[in-house]
Amino acid sequence: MEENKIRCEEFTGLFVVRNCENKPTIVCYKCKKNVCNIHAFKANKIVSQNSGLQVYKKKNAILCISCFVEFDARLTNDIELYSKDRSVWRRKMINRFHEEYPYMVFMADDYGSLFDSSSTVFLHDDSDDGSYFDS
Amino acid sequence: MDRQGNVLNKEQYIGAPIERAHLHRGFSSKKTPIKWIRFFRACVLQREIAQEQKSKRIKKIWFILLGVFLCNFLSIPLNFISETIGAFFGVIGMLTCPGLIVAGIMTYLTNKKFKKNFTDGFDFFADYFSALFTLIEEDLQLDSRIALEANVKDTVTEENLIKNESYTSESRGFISGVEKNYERVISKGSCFFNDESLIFFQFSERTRERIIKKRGSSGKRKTKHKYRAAYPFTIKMKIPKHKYQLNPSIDTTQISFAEDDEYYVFKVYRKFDVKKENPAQYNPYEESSISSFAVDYFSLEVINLINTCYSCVTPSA
Repeated sequence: MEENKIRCEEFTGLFVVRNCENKPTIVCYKCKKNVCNIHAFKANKIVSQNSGLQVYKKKNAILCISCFVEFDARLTNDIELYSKDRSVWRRKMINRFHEEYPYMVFMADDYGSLFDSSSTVFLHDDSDDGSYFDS
Repeated sequence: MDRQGNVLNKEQYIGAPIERAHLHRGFSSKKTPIKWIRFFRACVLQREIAQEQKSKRIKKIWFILLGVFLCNFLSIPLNFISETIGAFFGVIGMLTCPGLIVAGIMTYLTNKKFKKNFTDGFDFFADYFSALFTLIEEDLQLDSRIALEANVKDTVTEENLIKNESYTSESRGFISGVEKNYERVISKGSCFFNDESLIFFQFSERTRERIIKKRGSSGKRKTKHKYRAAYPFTIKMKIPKHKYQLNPSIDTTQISFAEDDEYYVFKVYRKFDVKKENPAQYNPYEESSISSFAVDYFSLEVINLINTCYSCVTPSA
């Protein structure tokens, strides 16, 4: 039964990329992807001169984050980080990182339960013991 | 979706029960990324509010003094109407000189109080670390907290002085010189990634101050203070052995490597230097050049340090 559970079709993470675990609540008006509330954005909040966008704005469409970022013409400097738009900022920056840097990325799902975060227990003390590299 | 487009604004921070932004003392705490971002934003907003209040108070002081000064001129025509009123305005006008001293002292005290509570240069810190924490937010375990300790005081102070030596130069008119080197850890901290990796980071400011006494072309002696600052950012990363295997070749010129029973340990370093990276922005007469780096550039370069550590390993098949 778990195998057939419908999940949000967006992803999270920068280095270890995971499929979003949330339950989808909305279908993206443009790409028809099932997405959760966190990855859904109102098209009428997009700042852009793109004429193709008007269709979505007029219909008060809801878009997935990927489609939203595709249309959104805002510079990263203009996005307030203490808001839901933080996800938009992050996605734009990750896209830039992909383009400008030799980038290490892999899908957690490709490694079975190795990166299963639900079973992860952190027992190590996260204070810096300073025993390495001290000169 | 409901909170889309919502932003924190100044109005929300007037009288709001949040942490006091006594940034001159620095701070040390563990918070989730979103709480850190809120804290940084709140600190910046609190400073802006306090700055506005300070400017209003100073303006009010000098406006009152201007009124007192104008009483001198008003007393003359008012004398023709009523000698009592004229004399009254004349007496107030006579308070201009002591008022000037009082206004000067009050302005000084107001500025001093503001400086005591709100340090300069916090905005860059807030912007840089908000950006960095936003980028790694999804790589942390849910509700995982970032430990962060910060010191946003000035670097050029006696307590941060690490080397003081004489300086000589062949330049024309040079008389004598002193070179002082300062170092301050702006912030350090740690966090867990959701693959059980541990990240430790440290961000410092190293400033060189040259105090040069020289004779100008007119023959007049003058003293110049010239600065050069660099900002090393160090990342130490512990990557769990049971999830990753070490790649056969590691470029040890860029990366320090060690290992223990459980972890591969990598240390990488990036020095931000405006003079080298963006000479057009470099000003030798300014103590700090940290704000010359764009937030996007800074955060991506720091993220690339983590990327460099990850590039030394491959997930276990």
